[in-house]
Amino acid sequence: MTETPLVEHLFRRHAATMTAVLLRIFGSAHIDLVEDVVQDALVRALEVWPLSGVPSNPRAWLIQVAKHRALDAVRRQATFARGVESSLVAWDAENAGGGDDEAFRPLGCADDVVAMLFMCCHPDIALESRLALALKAVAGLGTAEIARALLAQEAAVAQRLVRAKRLIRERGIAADMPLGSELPRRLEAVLAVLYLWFNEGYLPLQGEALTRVDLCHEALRVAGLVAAHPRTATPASHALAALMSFHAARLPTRTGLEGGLLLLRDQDRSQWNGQLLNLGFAHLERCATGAQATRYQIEAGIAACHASAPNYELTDWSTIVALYDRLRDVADSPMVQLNRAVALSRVEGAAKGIELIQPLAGDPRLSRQRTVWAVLGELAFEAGRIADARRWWVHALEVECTDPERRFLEYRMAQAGAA
Amino acid sequence: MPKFALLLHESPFAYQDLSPEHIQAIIQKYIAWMNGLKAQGRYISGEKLCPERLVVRRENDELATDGPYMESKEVVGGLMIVEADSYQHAAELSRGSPHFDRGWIEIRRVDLA
Repeated sequence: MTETPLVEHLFRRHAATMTAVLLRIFGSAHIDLVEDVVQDALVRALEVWPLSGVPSNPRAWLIQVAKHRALDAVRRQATFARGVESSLVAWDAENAGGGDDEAFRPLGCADDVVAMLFMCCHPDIALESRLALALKAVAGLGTAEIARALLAQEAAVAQRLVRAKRLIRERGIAADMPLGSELPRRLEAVLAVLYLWFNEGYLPLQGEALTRVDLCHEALRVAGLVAAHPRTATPASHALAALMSFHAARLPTRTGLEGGLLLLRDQDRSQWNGQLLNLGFAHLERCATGAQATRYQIEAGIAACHASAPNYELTDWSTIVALYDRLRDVADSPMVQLNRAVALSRVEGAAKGIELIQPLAGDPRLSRQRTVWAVLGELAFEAGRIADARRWWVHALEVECTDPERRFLEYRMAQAGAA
Repeated sequence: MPKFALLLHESPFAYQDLSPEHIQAIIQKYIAWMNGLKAQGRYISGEKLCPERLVVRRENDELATDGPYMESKEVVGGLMIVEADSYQHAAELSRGSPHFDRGWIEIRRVDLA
C-alpha cells in the first residue's frame, strides 16, 4: 500500500499547536526548552518516517514524542512547578491533533494558540519583534523563512527573536489572555500585528510570490481563531478577519500574463475565491459598525463594496468615498488620501483625482512613491493626456519597482504609445 | 526475484536549524520515492537504524562488548530491502532517492542461494 501524502503545512501548523500547549504547561519562562522539545519531535519524524513510512496518525505520533521528551526534561530537573508532570501526562495525543487539516477550520487547542499569540504581541516587546515572534511561534516558520517574508537579514531576525524571548523570560510575559480591563488594549496590539502580518504578504514587494500568498492565508487563519474565541470575538476582530478574507479572495487575480500586476479594473472577478468572499461577508455581519468604528471596520466596508460590485464601473464609488472620509478621521495617512482620491476620481472624473494626488508626489511619508506616479499615469491616460501619462509612468519606472510592477508599467506604456 | 539491501550511509547532519516546513518537504521527498518503489511492486521493507552501535566479539571464550557508542562520523542510518532484477536495476531504483542530498547508498544483493 502506498503512503498517504502528508497534509500540506502539517508540520508548521502542528509545531505551533505543540508549542502553544507546552507553553501553557511549562510556562513561558521555559520557552527555549519548549522550542527544543518541539524541534526534537519534528527531527525524530525526519529520522524515522523516511524508512518506516508515515504513521497512521502523524499528529498523535509527534505529540507522543514531544511528550516523552518533555517528561524526560521534567524528571531530570527538579525545578519545575508541581503539576507540570501531571499536565504533561494528561496531554492527550489522540484527541489533541485533529481539526487543523482544513485551512479555515480552527485548530484543536485554539485557546492555547490564541494565548501564545497574546504573548508574542505583548506591548513590552518591540513592534518589529512581535511580528517575527508570531511568525515563529504561531505560524511555525523558521528564521530563514521569516527573514524572506519580512525582507530582512536572517541574522537580524535571529537577534530579534533572541531579544524577544529574553524579554519574555525577564518580565514574565505569560502565554495567556489578560484579564478584564487590560484585555481591550492587549487585543488591539494583537490585531495590529495580524494586520501588519497580512500586509507583509499582500503588498507587492519583492520576494517569492508563493511564500507571500501563504503568509496572507496564514494571517487570515489566525485572525479567524481570534475572531472565533469567545473572549476576543469583538467587532474589530471580525472586521479584521473580513478585511483579510476579501483581500485574500482577490489574490489569485492580481497578476496576469507573465506575472504582470493587474489593476482591480482588469481583474477577472469570476476568478475571485467565492469561499473567501463568503467568509468575508460572514465576518462582516458580525462587526456592526457603531459610532466608534475602528479602521478595520471601515477598511472591511470598503473591501466589501469592491467584493459585492459586479464590475469596476458599477462599483458603489460614492459609498467608498464616504468610507475613506471616515477612515481619514480615524487613521489618516498619505496612502489613505491616495486611495480616497482614486475613488473620488470615479465619481467626479480623472481631473479631480489628478488634482488631489499631485501634491502627494514626493511626500516622504509615502514609502511607495511608484504607486503615486503609476496612478497619476493611469488617470492622465484616462483623461486623454497621453504625454502626461507617459511622463508619469517613466517617473514610476525610475523609482524602485518589483518585476511584476515593471512589466505592468511597460505594458501600459506600450498601450499608450499605440493610442 | 532477486532481493537487494540498500544500505543508506549518512553523515551526522545539523537538523536543529531546519524549519518545520523544510523538514516536512524532506520527508515528503522520501515518501514520494518510497511510493514509486511500492507502485512498481519493488519495496519490501525499510527500517531506520539508530546512530550508536555496540560491537560484540569473542575473546578467550568470553563475549566481549564494546559500546554502545555514538558514531561521530558516517553511519549506516537506514536499511531498505527491495526486489530488483540485477545490481544495475537496483541502482536504477535508488535513482530518485532524496538520500543523495545527505549521503550515499551501498547496494548488497541478498544471497538467496
